[in-house]
Amino acid sequence: MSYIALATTTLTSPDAEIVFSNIPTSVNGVALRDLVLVADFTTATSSTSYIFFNGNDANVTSVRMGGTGSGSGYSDTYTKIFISAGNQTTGQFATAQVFDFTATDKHKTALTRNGNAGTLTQASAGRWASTSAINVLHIKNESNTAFGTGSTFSLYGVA
Amino acid sequence: MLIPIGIFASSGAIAAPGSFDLLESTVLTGTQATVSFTNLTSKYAANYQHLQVRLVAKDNRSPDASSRMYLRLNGVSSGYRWHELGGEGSVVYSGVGSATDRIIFQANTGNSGNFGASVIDLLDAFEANKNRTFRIFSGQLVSGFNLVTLVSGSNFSTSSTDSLLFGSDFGSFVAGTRLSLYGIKATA
Repeated sequence: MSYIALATTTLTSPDAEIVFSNIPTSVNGVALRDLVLVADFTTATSSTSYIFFNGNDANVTSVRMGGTGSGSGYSDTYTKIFISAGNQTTGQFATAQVFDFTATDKHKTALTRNGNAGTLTQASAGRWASTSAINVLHIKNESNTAFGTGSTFSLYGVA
Repeated sequence: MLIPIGIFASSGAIAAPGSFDLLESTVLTGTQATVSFTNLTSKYAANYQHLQVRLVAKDNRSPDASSRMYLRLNGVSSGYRWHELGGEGSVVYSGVGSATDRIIFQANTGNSGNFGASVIDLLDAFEANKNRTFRIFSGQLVSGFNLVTLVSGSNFSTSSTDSLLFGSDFGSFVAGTRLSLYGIKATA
């Protein structure tokens, strides 16, 4: 029992921010080390979606790379932890893994993969330069566009 | 939308026991050059199909883009091939690994508290009719040396996976480095 479903939601109406709160540090005596977010979503307009923790979206560095099917790909850095890019109106899938989320002696590092079959595929690494344990995970996008009805977000804990 | 979890979410469910299991984990309490998982065949081959290592690591070099980690299988130092795709923040690169005595992937050399992360998947880890194949997803955020990489590697041997050794190519892992080994079953 090392990969534990913590919570999931499928939107029945548009919502601009998804918040998983009161994230446990253990389940049935099993200490959790990592978090995994799995998301399948749309937005009304194209806008980069990202995750942040404990209500604090500052002190973040991330690097991403991706391909759109033409050219040699791209890479850039950013101040948020991406879970999407490009056209989200037709649907994006994303996974984000957050490591040692309960540690109080480490910054919080994340690895994300995302894509849209009609647009691009992308991978990124991000770091929240905070030693605070994570107990809240937020999902938003830059233009505050709402995630669409039917979007699903699921959070897992890894022992 | 606020989704309070508490102990369990109302929609939460426990994964089927024994499908994805934490087998071993180590968190270093001091500097250490290498970390190994051993006797894997006798301990896990009967019950698990695949292995995954989740690694949160930092080595003790000063921030340097060339700092690397490596992986060796069964104490073997030959027969490795690997390819890398990476993003450095302005350039995407790809390459064929020149080293054949190990599989190399990126290491983190950040300041205090700054650890890199890697997920290493070894599919069909114990089967005797396939070469060993690895998939590594890794990232580090170090000022001036941000990296996200995907590595695919293989050891051209059909020997069952019995040991995995992780090392820092230029230094040693520091305290707080964590390596966790997981087993994935073919059926529940």
